[in-house]
Amino acid sequence: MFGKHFELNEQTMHIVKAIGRTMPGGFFIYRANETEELLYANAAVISIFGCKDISEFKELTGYTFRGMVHPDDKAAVSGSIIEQIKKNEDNFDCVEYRIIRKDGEVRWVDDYGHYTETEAYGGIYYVFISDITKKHEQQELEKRLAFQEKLIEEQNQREQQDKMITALASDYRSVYHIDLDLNDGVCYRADPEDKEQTAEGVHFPYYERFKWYAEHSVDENYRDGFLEFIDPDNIRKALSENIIIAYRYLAHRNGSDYYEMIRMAGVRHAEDRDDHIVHAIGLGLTNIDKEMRETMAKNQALSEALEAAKQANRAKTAFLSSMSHEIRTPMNAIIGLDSLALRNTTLDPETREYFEKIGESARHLLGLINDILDMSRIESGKMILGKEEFSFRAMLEQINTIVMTQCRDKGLKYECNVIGGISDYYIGDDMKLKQILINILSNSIKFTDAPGHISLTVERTAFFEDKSTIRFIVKDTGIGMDKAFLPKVFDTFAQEDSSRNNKYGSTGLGMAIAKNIADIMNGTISVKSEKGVGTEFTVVVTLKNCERSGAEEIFIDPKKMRVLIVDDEEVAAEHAMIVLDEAGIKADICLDGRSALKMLEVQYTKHEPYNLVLLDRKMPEMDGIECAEEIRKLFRKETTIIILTSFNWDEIMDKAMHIGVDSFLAKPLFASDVISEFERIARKNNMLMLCERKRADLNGKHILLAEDVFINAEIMKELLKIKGMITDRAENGKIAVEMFSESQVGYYDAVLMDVRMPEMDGLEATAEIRSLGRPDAEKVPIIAMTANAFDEDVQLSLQVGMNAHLSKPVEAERLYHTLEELIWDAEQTNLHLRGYNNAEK
Amino acid sequence: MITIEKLREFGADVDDGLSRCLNKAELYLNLVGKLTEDKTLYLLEQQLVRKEFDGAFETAHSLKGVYANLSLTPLIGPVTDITELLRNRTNTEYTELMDKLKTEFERLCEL
Repeated sequence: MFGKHFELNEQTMHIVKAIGRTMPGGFFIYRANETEELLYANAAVISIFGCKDISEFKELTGYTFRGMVHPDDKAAVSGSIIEQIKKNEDNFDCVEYRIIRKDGEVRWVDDYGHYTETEAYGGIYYVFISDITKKHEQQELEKRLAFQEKLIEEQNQREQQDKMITALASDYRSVYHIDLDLNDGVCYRADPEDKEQTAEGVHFPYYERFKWYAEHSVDENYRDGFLEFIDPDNIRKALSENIIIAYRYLAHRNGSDYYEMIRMAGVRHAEDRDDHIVHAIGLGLTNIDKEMRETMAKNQALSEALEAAKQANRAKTAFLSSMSHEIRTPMNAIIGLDSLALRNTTLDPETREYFEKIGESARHLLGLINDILDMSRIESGKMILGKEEFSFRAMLEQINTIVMTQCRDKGLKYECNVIGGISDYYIGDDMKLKQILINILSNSIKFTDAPGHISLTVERTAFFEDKSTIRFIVKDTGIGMDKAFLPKVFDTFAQEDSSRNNKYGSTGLGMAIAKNIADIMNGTISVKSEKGVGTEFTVVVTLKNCERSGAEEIFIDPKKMRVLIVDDEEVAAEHAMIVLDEAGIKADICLDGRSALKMLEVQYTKHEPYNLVLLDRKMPEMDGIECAEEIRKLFRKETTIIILTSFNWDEIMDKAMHIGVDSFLAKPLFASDVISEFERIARKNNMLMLCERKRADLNGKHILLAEDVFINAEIMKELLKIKGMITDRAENGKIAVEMFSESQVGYYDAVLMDVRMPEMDGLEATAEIRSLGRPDAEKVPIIAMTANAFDEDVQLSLQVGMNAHLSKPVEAERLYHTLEELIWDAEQTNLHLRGYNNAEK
Repeated sequence: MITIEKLREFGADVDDGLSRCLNKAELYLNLVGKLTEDKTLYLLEQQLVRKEFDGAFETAHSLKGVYANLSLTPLIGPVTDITELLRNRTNTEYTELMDKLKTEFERLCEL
């Protein structure tokens, strides 16, 4: 109002006065300074204050603002005005306060003020004021009424609560109200049969009373828990988190034992609400004996049921295990004999066809059995996922080979695309992954007719530091499936249309197995299909990444493999040999563990060791595992050992691996399995095909050569000279023994012993040297050389103590190799002999 | 002077022989040379004349080994025949076979 638009000064003041004179409401202006002296107050103001004229007013109030306000309200009013002016942009304020009229009566006024700056008077407030006493009184009355109503309401509520408590409390044998702060308890409802308890309405000290109860009536096993439960601090804490808390225990009262429960809930009164602390509780004791015993009986029944279920499961597993063997054994015989029969080249075409069909049926049947066993293994949770390094590329190749053949036979087109960064190697279970894909692909082939098209797309969809997610999509242009059937496609024994099965039928388990394996791998399988158009299966799995870059592919050359098959059943052994032969692998067979050990030893001595032994698990006298143990003792890691068995090998796998078995394969044998298994193990052991044994440097080594034929001796000397070896020649065995015994201990690093010599042959000479009683005589490498390389000769040489056996004509490389390895081995064990030598001197 | 070429002309399986000697021509020729100075062949002859078949068998067998070692094919044939007969201690006239052997041997020495 003033200030900006209307300069307030002595001249303009009279205009204000003119307006103010006739204003009905009170209007005054005062200076905003220390004294707050009024500049003007209109007639209405004077009237409000009960004064007759301005002089009475001036007398009453001292003609200052502060003089107008009731002393008790002064501070609040000043504070409020300042606050409001500060906050309000236009400098308005509104306050209510009391004044004291001239006649002493206290009246309420409301005050609307505005602060403004004037040039003449500085800062001023102009205020509109009116008497609101009546209004105020009215308000007060209303407030009181509301408050009273509230109190009544709360009282009603409390009464209702009490009634509720009483009603509910009938479930309890006795109910108490406990004030935790005051440690005061009072019984609301008493147990009419309880002689000992406090009567209703009587107050008692809470904690002591209930402590007494604990010592008197609570079973000792539960006593500590009870005391902990009734502790006020624990109660407060527990009730801050839960609405009701309870404790169950065994009570002894009135000569009987029964299960009782003590229950508590917070009693929230209005005053308590804000601090969220429980100050008082309702407490009830109740007999839960019946419930308790029922629960215990239920638990007992449950654990008995569990035990029965476990037993049933064990029985099922045992049954399946033995059934597996019972069925597989004759199956092996059928397949084995069938392949033997097919070897007969004199078969007429008709008979040959019969045999081939028998073989097909047998293999099909074996497939069914394997499916069923897989399913039962999955169901009983026994399927374990392997976590091995494997070649992803090799796995795909194997899948593609199988699928390609089947597609070609049916006139279908097949293609496989690999998108994105698929590594060569991953860590996971390649056999199971292959199983999933082959199951799905076989399904596609089954339901697609020529000219049809099947595709497998492999893509890496995500790549993390240690894992990769890979998606396989199998698409076909087959007959498709009804939308209604899709959810059931992975159920066991679910087939939409079984007319499609070939004449041999199908288990209906393939898809169920695939889905279960995927689940175990934490992967997913999903399917899309449209009848008449085709089907699309999507498999997503996550595999662990493998650090190996894959540059070193270990390709096993079948020609370099030397295999020994050990099986007490001749048919099985021969079948295995045939299977390997078809893959270009030469194998020998023997029928028991002991013979196997002998044969291994012979070949080892000839330096043509077997690099793979296939051991049948169940053999009389010495079983496969025992044999494996013996082999490991003698031949360390150079020979790969694979156990063949019709049984489930899960249980014995750990023990077997510990003994040194490299892997297991199921009978009947497939050559591809053998090769890939061998490759995998070779990679694992970081083995090279030719065992890289450590070699010694031949330069300067002393060799004793026993050879009767001069020219042969000369040839040998020349050969040895090339490598820097120094040779002494003995013309026969006797001289050889003499020369050796006259030599210094450790002088000769090796002896080359021709076997056929006059006077004393090589075998006898070796025996003599070995029994000279010198430490070096026992250990020095003695190598037999003979035109005969029959096993009996090799065995004889071994018996007398020779270390190796070379057949004449001797190949230079072979000779060096043998000397290097044997001298190295001898040096390792002979290191202590140097000491002996020095002592001798 | 004996050379590889002459040996090849002689009928020896030179490549095989060389491989046995680590492809060292010098070593091979050296060894063949040593053989020509060897008298074992005549020892065999004597043993045959004296019908010491046991001893003769051993000698023949050894010679067979040597000739095979050096891949001297023309010599191997005759000596093998003799060895096999002697294995069973066959009492027959070995003169013809012995002559054949000697002829080949002398041919070798002339290289």
